[in-house]
Amino acid sequence: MSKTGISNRVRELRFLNGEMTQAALAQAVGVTRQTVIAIENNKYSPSLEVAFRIAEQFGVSLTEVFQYTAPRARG
Amino acid sequence: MKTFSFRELSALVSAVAVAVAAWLYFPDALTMASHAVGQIGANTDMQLTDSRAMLIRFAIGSVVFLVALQIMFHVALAIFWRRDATEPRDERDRIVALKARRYAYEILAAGVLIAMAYLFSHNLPGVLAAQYLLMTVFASEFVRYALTFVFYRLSV
Repeated sequence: MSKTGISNRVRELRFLNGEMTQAALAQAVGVTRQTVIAIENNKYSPSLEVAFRIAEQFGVSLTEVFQYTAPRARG
Repeated sequence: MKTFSFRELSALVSAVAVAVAAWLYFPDALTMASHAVGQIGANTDMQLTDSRAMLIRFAIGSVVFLVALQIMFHVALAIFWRRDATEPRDERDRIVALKARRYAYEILAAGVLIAMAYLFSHNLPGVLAAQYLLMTVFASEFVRYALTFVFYRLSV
């Protein structure tokens, strides 16, 4: 999980969708392959628009792709 | 090497190119500028005019060298990273560029203010002032490319 508390199942969903390649997903949602890699590694949280496009591509809801867990506040 | 993306390496080689160009340009340019304003060496009007003309030629030559260096580096990168090189920029590229530009702008603004304060306090002429201001432009460009590389590595 990233420091923002957002995690995702993009890699898993790609494999469940006929082992879709990162390049194919990138092209389908209009980002670069490097951005897909960064999203999968939880290094980059995409814009809402791209997040919705990814979910639409896999035919699932947004929350099935992206999950949010509030980071624990430091004492 | 393939662990780096085309855009990461593009930023890195641009930072190196700017650093090399600055390293080659400024030591000689500052000496030439000092000649051009008669602080050292030149004594006659003819010598001063020659020094200014030489400085302008040197500045143009350095810019051409920097552009040629960048083209050479990027052509080499595009050959090895053909797929990445042809991809259009996306939202992450734009965010990285904006963040790097923000810090570069602060360096540029601070550099201009420092250069101006130094120039006024030392009452330096325009030819030298131009060199110090150009130095801040090089510094801010270096910071922009270096931070672009860092932000891509850390992601944003």
